[in-house]
Amino acid sequence: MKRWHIVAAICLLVVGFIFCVVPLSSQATELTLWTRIPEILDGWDYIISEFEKLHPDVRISHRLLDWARTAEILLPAFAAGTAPDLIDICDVSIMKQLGERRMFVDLTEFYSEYRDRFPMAVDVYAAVDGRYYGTPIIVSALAHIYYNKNLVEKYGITPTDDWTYSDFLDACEKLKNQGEIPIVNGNKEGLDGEHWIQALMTETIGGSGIMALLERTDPDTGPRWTDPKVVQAVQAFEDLHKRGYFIEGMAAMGQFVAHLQFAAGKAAFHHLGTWISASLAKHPEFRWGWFRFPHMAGEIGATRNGGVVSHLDLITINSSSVHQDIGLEFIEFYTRPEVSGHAFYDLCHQHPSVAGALKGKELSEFDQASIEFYETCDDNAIWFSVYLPHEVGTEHITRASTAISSGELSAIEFCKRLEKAHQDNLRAAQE
Amino acid sequence: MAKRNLLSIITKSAIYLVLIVLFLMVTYPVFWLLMSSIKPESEIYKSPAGFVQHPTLDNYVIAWRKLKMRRFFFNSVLVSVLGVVGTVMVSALAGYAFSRFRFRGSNAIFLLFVMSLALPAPAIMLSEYILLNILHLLNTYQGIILFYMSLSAFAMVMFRNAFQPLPQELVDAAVIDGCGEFRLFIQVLFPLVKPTTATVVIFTYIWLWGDFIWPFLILQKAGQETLMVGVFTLSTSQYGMGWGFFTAGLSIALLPALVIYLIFQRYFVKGLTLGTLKG
Amino acid sequence: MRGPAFFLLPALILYVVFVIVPLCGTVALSFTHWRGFDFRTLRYIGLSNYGKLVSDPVFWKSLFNTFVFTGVSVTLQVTVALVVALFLEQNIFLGKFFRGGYLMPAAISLVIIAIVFDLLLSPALGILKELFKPVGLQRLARFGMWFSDPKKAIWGLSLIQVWYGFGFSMFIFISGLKSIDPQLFDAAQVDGASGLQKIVYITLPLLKGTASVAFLLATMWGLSVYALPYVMTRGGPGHATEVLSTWAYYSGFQYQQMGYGSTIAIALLLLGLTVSFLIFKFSAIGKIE
Repeated sequence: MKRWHIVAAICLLVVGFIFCVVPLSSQATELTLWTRIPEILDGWDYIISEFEKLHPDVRISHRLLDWARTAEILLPAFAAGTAPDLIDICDVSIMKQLGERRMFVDLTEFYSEYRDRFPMAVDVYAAVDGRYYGTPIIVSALAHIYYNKNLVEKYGITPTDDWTYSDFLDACEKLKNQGEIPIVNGNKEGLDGEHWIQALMTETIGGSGIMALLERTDPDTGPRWTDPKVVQAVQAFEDLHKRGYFIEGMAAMGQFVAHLQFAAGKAAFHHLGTWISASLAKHPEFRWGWFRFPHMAGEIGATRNGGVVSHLDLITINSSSVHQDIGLEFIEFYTRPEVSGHAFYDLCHQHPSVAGALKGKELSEFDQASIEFYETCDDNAIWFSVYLPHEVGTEHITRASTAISSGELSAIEFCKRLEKAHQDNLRAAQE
Repeated sequence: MAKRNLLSIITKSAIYLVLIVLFLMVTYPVFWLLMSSIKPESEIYKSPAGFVQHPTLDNYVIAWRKLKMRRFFFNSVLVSVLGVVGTVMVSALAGYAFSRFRFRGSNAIFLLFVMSLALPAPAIMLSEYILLNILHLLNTYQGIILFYMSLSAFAMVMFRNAFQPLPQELVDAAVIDGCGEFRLFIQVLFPLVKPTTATVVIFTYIWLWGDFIWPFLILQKAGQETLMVGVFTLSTSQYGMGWGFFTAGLSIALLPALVIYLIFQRYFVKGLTLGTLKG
Repeated sequence: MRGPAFFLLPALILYVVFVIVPLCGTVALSFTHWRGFDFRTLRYIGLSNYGKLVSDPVFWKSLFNTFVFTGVSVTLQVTVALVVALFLEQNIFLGKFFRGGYLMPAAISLVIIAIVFDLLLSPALGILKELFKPVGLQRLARFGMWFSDPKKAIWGLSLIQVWYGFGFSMFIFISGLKSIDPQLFDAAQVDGASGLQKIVYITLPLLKGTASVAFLLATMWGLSVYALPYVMTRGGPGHATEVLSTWAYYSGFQYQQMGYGSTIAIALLLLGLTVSFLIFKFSAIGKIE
């Protein structure tokens, strides 16, 4: 008798609990913000708390998305109508799709009022058909190769900004013969490979050449991925593998692991963007330097200052949001130079996109070099895999680069497949 | 005679060797993880594989605070515990039904349930998301718990096998005493399958604790993430951290399920041996 | 009427609502072309997606990988499990201790397993090298390199699956062994049979049913594997470790081909059901004694 009652009581309790766990309703207006860069979490915390102080009846609920899976998470969210009020979009192809369908609030007016805050390089990320949909957060660039000072000094190698690509290859050869690891990068996610190919193509066809390829609309005319200069760049990437300059097992090594290997002093060179200076600062005993990605003698890139100046992540306002006005105020607030500057530079050591955010701040040598590049880059291209539709860019550039790293795919085959996929995609779009 | 003994000694030694090597292979990864989590950062670089020299709990403290693990931990406990209770309730009832009643289509329905064991997650991911949203169960603990309860086929099989061999005399005796069907189940028969219940509890708990696919998809509000989702996001996050911190985070996620398993091992064995045999 | 309905209804309702209905949704999606985000862009295209399956090289690659993964992991898993179960049956000192240890991997989340092995086997971190150098088995440390080799990567994953799953298969065998009538062994002993002969002629034949169960469960699990390749290798390098479930996910969610992704998932489900059915039919399940 007793036990039966106890059991029934427990069951009822549990069932009741299950259906009565309701979040306490609050009087505050709540906005949801989804971002994806873990390095600037502290920055967002600061911005949110300051904003909430200015607007006591507003609460901003911040969720950090998985860095690499933002698109996959947003897809069902938008489909089901559960997308947040403020979203960090890091994908131009998605920005285009959703912008064209007016699923983001049009910020063109905002831009015309606050244009001085946003450098011109932002436009290619933030605008679709002349209308603006997002505001940038931080800027970074792909323009340098980093090196391990102790290691290269040991062998009398002195990298400079004037190095040519052959100088660089010679240095790698020398290091390899001494039993050292010349270059460490991790291509499991395919991003390091994509960045190498991007940098090499900037040398052989220039940033403008890359943009011409990316912005193709006609499958039958114009530049192709199978053009000799493009193939040359991809072959240069393949070549680095063949010569054994990359660390062993690169095809399965994560970007993060590779980076820590560099910071632990295991290799000489490391190719990544300017965003890593913040993490390298966490290893104070590690002496590192940088040089501009070496030019190839006689190629287009040699006469230009090319690379990628990236304002990749942008905050957009969901046009189904019922708090668009507050969203606008939030955007206006965080893009104030002093706010961005403190949040993203002082707290997180990243470079805010907003112009003037770094005024008066103490900058490290590398910060200065980075900023110099942001301002003087005259041949800017955009990342392949965020501009092209994913089934073309991510599949045939990012993923395919890992197949090059594993030795499965040749450079020529890479270019052929990419070209075919891009053409198919363009043709399908024409229908 | 001596030859036989020598052969048996060699055989036994070989058997022991294999068992020991296997045991080391099975336990080393966990050992490595736990060791790394209590090593100071410098030691991890110097000697990543071996024993710790200067153990420290700093990594755990940092991981717990910085990763907001208290919230994640709570969420995982909530979802796992309630999910287990729900699953046991639903699957015990169903397993009982299959074992004691012969009705038309019982085999077909049973097979329908078993079919879910072959179900790959992507086959229902998007539809599930949309369905839960329509039912207003998205971003709710209720939603994910109900979802987990619907995938209790394995537990159902175990309960069915456990109830089947129970003697008919017990049932008859209870019925004569005027016992209703449900009371018969709750008071008489269910208590008899304790080992199976224990096994189902442990199994389900381990599965729910370690699952990341569904909480990732279903619990999307900030602060709702479970431990595994937090760990998963941590592993893909970029340049912000060191090994100690990372392995400590992983350990925090690992330990509860592991500890529960180690403590309740013997029930696990009993229940498994009863339940899995008859397909 | 307090019959079966009362007891079965909760499970049935939940199952239909949360599994069958979404499944139907996925089937419906497989007949469409949809880039996600906005339902207004959904288009009905009949069986085109199924045709696309045939001409998609990555589909065939992932099908192949799924078979290799399942075949290798199941075979090794079941074999090792059987051998270990037989060993443990010999009244080994610390037998229960070993047994508990072997099942321990099953208590660990696959996410953690994937992450830990990724680090453990990484040639750059050199953990295996440090472990095996003192015993002179450095060559074994090269195992981590399998994951950057397009041909060996899927085998590497299979071995991790074996690590994870053999404990469970072992338990199935142990319970099967426990149900064998010891009198049979006594009779054989009287007849002068050796230990090995007893195993071969008595134990193994009687374990056929158990083996089938172990085989079936391991196969179902292997075919629908998702978390391990997704977390550990992301299907790479290239598509060297792409299995059907990850390809279904990537096509759908990352490449924004929700219709096609659904098609792959349905194909996988049908494959799983067919293989399970075949194993069920042509094995000794349910035909014990």
